[in-house]
Amino acid sequence: MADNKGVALVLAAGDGIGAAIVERFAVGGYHTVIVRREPEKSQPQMDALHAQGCALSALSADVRDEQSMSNLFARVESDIGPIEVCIYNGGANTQAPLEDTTGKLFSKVWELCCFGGFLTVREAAKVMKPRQRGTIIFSGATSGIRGKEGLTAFSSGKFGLRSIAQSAAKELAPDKIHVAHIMINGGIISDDIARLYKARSDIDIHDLDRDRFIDERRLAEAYWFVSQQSPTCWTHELDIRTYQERW
Amino acid sequence: MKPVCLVMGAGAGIGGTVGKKFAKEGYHAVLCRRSDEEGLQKLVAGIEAEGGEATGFLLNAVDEGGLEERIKYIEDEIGPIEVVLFNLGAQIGNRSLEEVTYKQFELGWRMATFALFRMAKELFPRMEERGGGTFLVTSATAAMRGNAGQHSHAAAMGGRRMLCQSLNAEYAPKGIHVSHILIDGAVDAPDTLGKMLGEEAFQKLREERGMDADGLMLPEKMAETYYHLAQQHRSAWTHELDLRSFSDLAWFNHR
Repeated sequence: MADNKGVALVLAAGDGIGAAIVERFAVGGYHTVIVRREPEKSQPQMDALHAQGCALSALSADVRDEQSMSNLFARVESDIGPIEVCIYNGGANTQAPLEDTTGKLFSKVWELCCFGGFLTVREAAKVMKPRQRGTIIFSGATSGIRGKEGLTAFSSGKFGLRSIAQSAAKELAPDKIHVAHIMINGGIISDDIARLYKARSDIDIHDLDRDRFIDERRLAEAYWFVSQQSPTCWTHELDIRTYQERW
Repeated sequence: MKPVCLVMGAGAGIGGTVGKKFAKEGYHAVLCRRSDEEGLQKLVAGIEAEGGEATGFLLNAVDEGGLEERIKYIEDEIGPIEVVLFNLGAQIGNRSLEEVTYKQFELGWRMATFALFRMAKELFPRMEERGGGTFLVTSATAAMRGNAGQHSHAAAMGGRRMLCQSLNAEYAPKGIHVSHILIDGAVDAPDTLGKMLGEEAFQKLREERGMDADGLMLPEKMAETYYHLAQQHRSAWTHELDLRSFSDLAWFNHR
């Protein structure tokens, strides 16, 4: 199924949205590279997609570390192929009251939400510019345009990410590099979100209406779609939410 | 009976091309525009030549009752309207405060904002009864920010954007997907940009910025985005997105 479309690099490809994006691009014919701290966790997904004839690799990198990121991009370009699509899905939806938000927590969340996005777009720009093509997509959040109680760390990180996306979009557009920010307004059903519901309101997420949560495979369609847009009409920002979401 | 995709404002640019795309995908395209019967029939014939179904009507969206009657007729005689493309513009070019008249200002609002409200009022209850529908709205930079000479246009388009948000908040849970599509740049469209600039200047712009330079938005490419929005699953709907060519500045980057 690999159509030799080049590489789709998915950074911070966890088990939820990241995995759905990986599947969409792998099935769509890209050699899809999963980047996460523990890539062995993606082995079952790799096996399943390899069995369908898809091309995938999984690599370990720390998206918050400058050296680790520059090594990663160099290695992908030399060993796997040209990075045509690069998706940054880093984030840590951490909720904590202001007074409990330590400097350490704040920095960690900011590094994941924002700094990793900066390193991503910088390294991607370096390899894409000479080719005068490429797509870079950021996973944003409602918290990137609206603050809320308990979200000082997360929200400031996502605000920062959005401004990186806007600035990079303008700077890289003349080189025909498409930068897009997908603002996700709502949760998917995942172990993380399940724990959050349990801790916050003692609710078992599986007792709730399925339609209150974004279907990550449907969400991945938006990433795919944006990556395939013609340079005559690019979308820089779009929002995604379920029909039931109140906002 | 095929489901209907109703296009309000079906010129040879976005409206007609999106209508054609939906016809190709199995909808009956109903194309409405204010004038130019010949141009309208050309669009209908173009769709039919490719094996699609289409009907054209001349309709002035500002006329009292006309739009409501047309919707009733389409629903009764052609098929259920599943998708609407509201594509009426209200750009009258730059006019200073002193130049713009009460009448022009009000007309802009009647086309850009009030006609959208009237359509929603007539259609949404029908769509709700059927369990859903899609309402795609072409919008403009002026919906995001005002500018010198844009009194009528920006007020009307700003109103359009707020109306879309309100409609979405009230009707998304009832299954109606309202999507506000921000066209933030020049479109390669003979009936709008072409008429505003005149044939010669339009052709010059196409040669300089459009065509192989990819700097003018191509309606056939834009139609892909409109269709994608209409196909989104309700667990992952987009309410707003922007579209511009790679070489155009985003509205928030203009000085």
